[in-house]
Amino acid sequence: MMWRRARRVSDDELDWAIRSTLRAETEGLEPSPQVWARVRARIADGRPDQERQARAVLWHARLANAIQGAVLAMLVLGFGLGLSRGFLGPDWHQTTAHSVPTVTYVSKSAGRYPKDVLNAKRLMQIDKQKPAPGAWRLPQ
Amino acid sequence: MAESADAALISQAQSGDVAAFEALYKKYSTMVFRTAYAILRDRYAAEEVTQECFVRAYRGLARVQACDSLGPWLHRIAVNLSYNWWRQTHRYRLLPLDSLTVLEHSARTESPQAALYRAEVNDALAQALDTLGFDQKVALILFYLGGFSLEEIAYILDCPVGTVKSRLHYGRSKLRRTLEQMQRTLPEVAYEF
Repeated sequence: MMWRRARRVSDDELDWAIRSTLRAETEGLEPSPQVWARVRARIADGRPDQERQARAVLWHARLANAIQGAVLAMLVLGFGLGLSRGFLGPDWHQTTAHSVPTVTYVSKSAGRYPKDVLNAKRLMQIDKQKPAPGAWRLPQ
Repeated sequence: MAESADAALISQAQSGDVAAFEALYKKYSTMVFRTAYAILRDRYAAEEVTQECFVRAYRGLARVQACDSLGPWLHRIAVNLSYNWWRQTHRYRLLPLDSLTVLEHSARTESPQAALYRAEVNDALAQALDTLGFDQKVALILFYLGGFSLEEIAYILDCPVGTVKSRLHYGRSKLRRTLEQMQRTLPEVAYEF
């Protein structure tokens, strides 16, 4: 079998080939008479009204979905904000930690320290008490 | 002359004259149908596109100015509808059986050698056209089959004229390569009976 050498196709040849191909594909083709019958029927049918109604129903459905989504989002947001403000009641606070520590002010008058304030003497006593291993206790 | 006749028909159809619209249908339906067929290569799809195109044209006729030529406007609708159809179905590439009858049609008026060559070129180019992207393919169809100007194609495809030129250039380049490859691989015996 012999093979032809590659030759550059001229613009005219290319134009002819494309035009010929497209014409060969569509030559003699006509839409069937039923097409016009269907077009006329749809024009006379007043289908635009039906389509408009269908479009309106579609828009209503979309609008309803959007409203539902917005309401749901507001509920979720409100629930989230409500949690942080403790609307669940006082019990909720018992399990939470205060972010601001309570500050106790101690007066400077001698001998009137509160019981829970450690002084140097008390610290030395604690240091001298050496409990057995595994028996660590807080000082009374 | 044709445009003034169109304008009269358009204004009559705008006032609800279905007979005037039927005259417009008879004038343009074949052109629209062939363009849709060339794009989709499916007779049923082309008829559906033609039908929908004229229904939408009738509904949108009020927006058409009397001086406008109806051809590009109708083709714009048809190309958009064809694109929708093509996008839904292009994954299932169906080759119509009537593409096999090209040799029979052309052999009636040409010599057997010319008819065979023409059939082979048509077959190769038709397959190459199918491998082009939608935009390039439609630009070529509108230019070569519809005979539209670059400006009209730009209006139909809703893009700048430069884009149309670019699509035509790249589409033609690809088809040229197909033709050259075909000439390289075509055996001598195909030309010499």
